[in-house]
Amino acid sequence: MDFLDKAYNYNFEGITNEVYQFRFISVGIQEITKIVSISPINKKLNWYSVGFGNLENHESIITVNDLAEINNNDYDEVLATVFMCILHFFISNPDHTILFFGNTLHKHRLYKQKISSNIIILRQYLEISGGKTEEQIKLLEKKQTITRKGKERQRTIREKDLTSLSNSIEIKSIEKYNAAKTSDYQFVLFKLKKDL
Amino acid sequence: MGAKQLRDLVEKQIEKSTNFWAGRPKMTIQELEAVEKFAKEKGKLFEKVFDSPEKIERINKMQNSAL
Repeated sequence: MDFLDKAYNYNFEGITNEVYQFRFISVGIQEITKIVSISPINKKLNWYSVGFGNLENHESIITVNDLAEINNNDYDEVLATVFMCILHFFISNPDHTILFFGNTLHKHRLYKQKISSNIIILRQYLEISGGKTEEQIKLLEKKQTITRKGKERQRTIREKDLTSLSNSIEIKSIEKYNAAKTSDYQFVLFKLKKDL
Repeated sequence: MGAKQLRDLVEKQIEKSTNFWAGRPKMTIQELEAVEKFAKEKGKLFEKVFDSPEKIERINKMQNSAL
């Protein structure tokens, strides 16, 4: 099965205050409502940032949690859905750029790995670049309690400490995405191929 | 050829999704606002890389040379 065929059925919820919103349901041990957002970060260059996470409702407080410990281990399906949402966005915004920036070390590595293993399919439609920042992003270790097979376990997540970049952040370089060099990339850019 | 393939891919997905989502509740205003807040937070960090016209120009050049 083609990577993109694994995508869940997403719904384009519309655009609110320039934020493109998509929703889908991850299926597995439980149904999890997930959100994909695409929002502007620089209008001059038409750079947009993509984010995704679980839509959660705790005591009537609704949030999108992109550090959630709950998942159905369906990384391929989730990432394929995110890419379908990106392609959907590009249909009406063909000159725009999407920036992807994972918020934990584990997820960032995992997603780059998935991009690399599906690069031929993705390059049918997308120009992919990898970028580095001047600043080294510090990592914060956080403990989380997760439940697996009915047992509670502790796990450590290495979250990127974005507050360490609160004063400045500079882009050092951008290059054509090279699957052999993904560990160097702190962010990934997607653009629709010119001939599409 | 590629453009048609892309449109077909997205249209096929929209068709499948339309059937799937038919009759399901729409997102509430509170949910839409939560997504908006999340998205704005997510983009905030990288907004800083574009804080001067010179930087915008430099980034534009870097990106174009990578394509």
